[in-house]
Amino acid sequence: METAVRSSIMNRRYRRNRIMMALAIFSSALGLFFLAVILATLVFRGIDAINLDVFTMSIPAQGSRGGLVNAMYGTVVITGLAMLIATPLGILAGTYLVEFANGSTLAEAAKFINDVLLSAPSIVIGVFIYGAVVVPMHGNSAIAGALALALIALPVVNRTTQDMLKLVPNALREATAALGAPRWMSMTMVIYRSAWTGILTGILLAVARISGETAPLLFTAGYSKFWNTGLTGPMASLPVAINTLAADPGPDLKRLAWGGALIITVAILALNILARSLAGRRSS
Amino acid sequence: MPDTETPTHGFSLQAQAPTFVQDAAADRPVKVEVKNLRFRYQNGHEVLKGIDMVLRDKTVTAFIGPSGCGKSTLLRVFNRMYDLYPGQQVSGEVLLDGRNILGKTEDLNRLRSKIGMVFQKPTPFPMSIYENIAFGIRLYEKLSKSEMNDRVEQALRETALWDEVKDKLQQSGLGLSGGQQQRLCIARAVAVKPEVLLLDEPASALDPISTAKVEDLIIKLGQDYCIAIVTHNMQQAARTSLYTAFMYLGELVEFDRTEAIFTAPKQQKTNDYVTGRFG
Amino acid sequence: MTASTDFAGRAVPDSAAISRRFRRQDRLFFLLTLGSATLVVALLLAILVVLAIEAWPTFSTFGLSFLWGTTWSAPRDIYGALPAVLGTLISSLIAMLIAVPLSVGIAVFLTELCPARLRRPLGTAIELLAGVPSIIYGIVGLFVLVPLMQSTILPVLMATVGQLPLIGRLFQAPAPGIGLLTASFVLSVMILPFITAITRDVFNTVPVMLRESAYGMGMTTWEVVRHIIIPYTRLGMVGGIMLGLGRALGETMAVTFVVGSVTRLQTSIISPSTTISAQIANSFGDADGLQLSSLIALGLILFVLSFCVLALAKWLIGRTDSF
Repeated sequence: METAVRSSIMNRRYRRNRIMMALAIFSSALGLFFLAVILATLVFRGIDAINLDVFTMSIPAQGSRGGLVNAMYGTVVITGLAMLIATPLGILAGTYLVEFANGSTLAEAAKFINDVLLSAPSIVIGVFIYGAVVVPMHGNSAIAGALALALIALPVVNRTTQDMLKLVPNALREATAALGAPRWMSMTMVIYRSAWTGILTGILLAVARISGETAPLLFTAGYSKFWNTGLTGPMASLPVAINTLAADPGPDLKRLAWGGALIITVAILALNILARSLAGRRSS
Repeated sequence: MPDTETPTHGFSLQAQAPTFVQDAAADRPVKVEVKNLRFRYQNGHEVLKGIDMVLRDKTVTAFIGPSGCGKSTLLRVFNRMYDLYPGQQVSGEVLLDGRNILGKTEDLNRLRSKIGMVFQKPTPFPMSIYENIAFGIRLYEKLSKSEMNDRVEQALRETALWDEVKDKLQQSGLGLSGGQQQRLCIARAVAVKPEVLLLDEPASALDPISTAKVEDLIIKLGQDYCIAIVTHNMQQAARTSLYTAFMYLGELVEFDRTEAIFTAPKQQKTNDYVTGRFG
Repeated sequence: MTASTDFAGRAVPDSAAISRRFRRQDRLFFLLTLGSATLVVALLLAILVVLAIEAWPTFSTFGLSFLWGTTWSAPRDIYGALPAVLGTLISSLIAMLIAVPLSVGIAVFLTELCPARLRRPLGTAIELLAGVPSIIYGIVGLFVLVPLMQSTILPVLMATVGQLPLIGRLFQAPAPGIGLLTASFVLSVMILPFITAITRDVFNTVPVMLRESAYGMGMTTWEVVRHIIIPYTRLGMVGGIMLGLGRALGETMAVTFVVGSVTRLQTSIISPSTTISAQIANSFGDADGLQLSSLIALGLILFVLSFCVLALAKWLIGRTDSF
């Protein structure tokens, strides 16, 4: 009698467990399925568009030959410029918050503000740069696009620097100070060196994040079909080109959009994997 | 010879020649003098409550006492390490060669270049073995390549590390064993020819063999430098130091020749501690 | 300043002069870092100020009623934020309803069930999903999900849920495939990896001893998750969910492609609709005058919304730290 009750309870518990675990497995399968669908779609639709022209010619009009080289160039230039601005500023700001002002109320407020920027919607950043840079400069420009992306990357680099500097043991700071070394030398010769794989991982993830951004570039760097190298004029980028071409009724241009989508996704996923393997090396 | 009680925790002075130097004139000159030193943390907790003592030149002085007695804090006052952290208050005087180093205008980088420090855990810099030594020298001296090579070699020889690392000077200092790393840190500290050497439990993270090597090194360096060593290990204090300061709850309970502290302490508290009754 | 000499008569460097130089350099370094940190703070203020100035014409014209105005009409030059704000809130809410259970499921699988060999590759795969640019979600959503919604999913929904009392109305409308529900689906896939990553990380903070003693009592995996892990990590999980919500609110490209850009209050969630970010992305390029100002005002509202969500998330996560 007692065992019958017991076994019915056990059966109920085991049944519930099996259901829940099946759901967990199903969720994971679904997550992988989503990734597979995205990658498969990109490959099937984009592979046709990948040819030499894509890497050598600028965006064409419907019906003529062309490629995406101006957009790729734009993405590299705008992203590079953005990182050139964001990396030193982010590292220095993170240095101040951890090394000079850690624990103070002001630093805590500044850290919070950085996290606010970190989670700010990227389109809002685009709108801000539009008002602050594009309007005064009377037009879209690669510079404006780079500033928008820099504003997205800056809090990422800042936050990573903070997190990585906090992991450096205090004894190392004291040991450098004990030799009579000035603070800046201690930072550049010892502390940053101890933290560099972590900071580099953060920088790579920031590059991966901003090079795929579309929204903040729409009204800042803008779009151009042509090979523009001037930083004060509009400059295409892969994401904005994809955005424009995908909406075009022309089938050739749509195909080109898929080609661009495949290229940018593969590049960004490769960057992600590189960054993670770097982080993995650090933790092992 | 006074009758020495056999300590309960196996402490033994057999390795130590029990020569009591009665004549104060045999002492080396005073290098550092501490006068009524008080130290307070940011939270108001007073960890040093009026310390008076001296460190003599070319002499090893050991600081012993239970955890939290303030011995490490005292050590970190000598090179003003506490200045790295805000809100810590110090009063009294620490005279280095007769000059107070606690003043607001004290040049801290320069002070620290004259007072070397070695920490509880090895702190090799993330650079080559050679650069670990050269880094400190380069801060205040401009040497030619060959002069620098000589200095690095000299420092590594002084710390008995040369034979172990001479073939891999360009490899990372992080690749050495714990004991080697610690001796590298000592080499780094002596390479800049400091006037005082502060050792904060330098062997507490090491295995017994490495510990023995570091202790031999301390004894050897004690002939040339004014050394202050904080230690939890009483055998270590007895083996390496000429003077010992016993501290308890922020006060200096007894400061005397090491032999006297361990064999004929004047204070009951000291006796209890060195015989292992508490701490 | 007298240069001292060593015993051999060679000049030795003046350490006081070197140290003075060090102090000057340190001062410069300090000011550089301080300046950079100040810049970050100043940038946030600048964003608020610029958006507020640009949005001012809107608020001076419509007052606060801009917030609940339901009309957005360029020809009549009347602008109200409600359709876009509601679109943002509803699509994010639906996306959360889908993504949160799935994320927790994946996190449970990763921490409790997954063979150790698979854990790393599977975790990486989920994290890669987070790396896919949002424009890719947008075009895959438009060209893969939208046809599927139109041909299969929406008709089925209309025939089943659509027949229910009360909530049925939400599923009754002409359904071209694009619309708020489609946008919500795309959003849920986008935020899935974020919530999963944080949930997995907080699950991993449960002490091994606690976990083992629970299993040791004969608890099933589900019971351990339900009664030990989730209660233990509750606040951290909610913090992670809030961060996911923050992303959903601000997401632009993935939504813009599939939401339909119809600026009207809709009675059904399957109709073409709009969100704040989609509204800005679609109209900003051709807008000027009051419309431009109203779009920027929408941006300001979005910024404030995401700020509130972040502040809440931080507060919750901060409370876990002091657990």
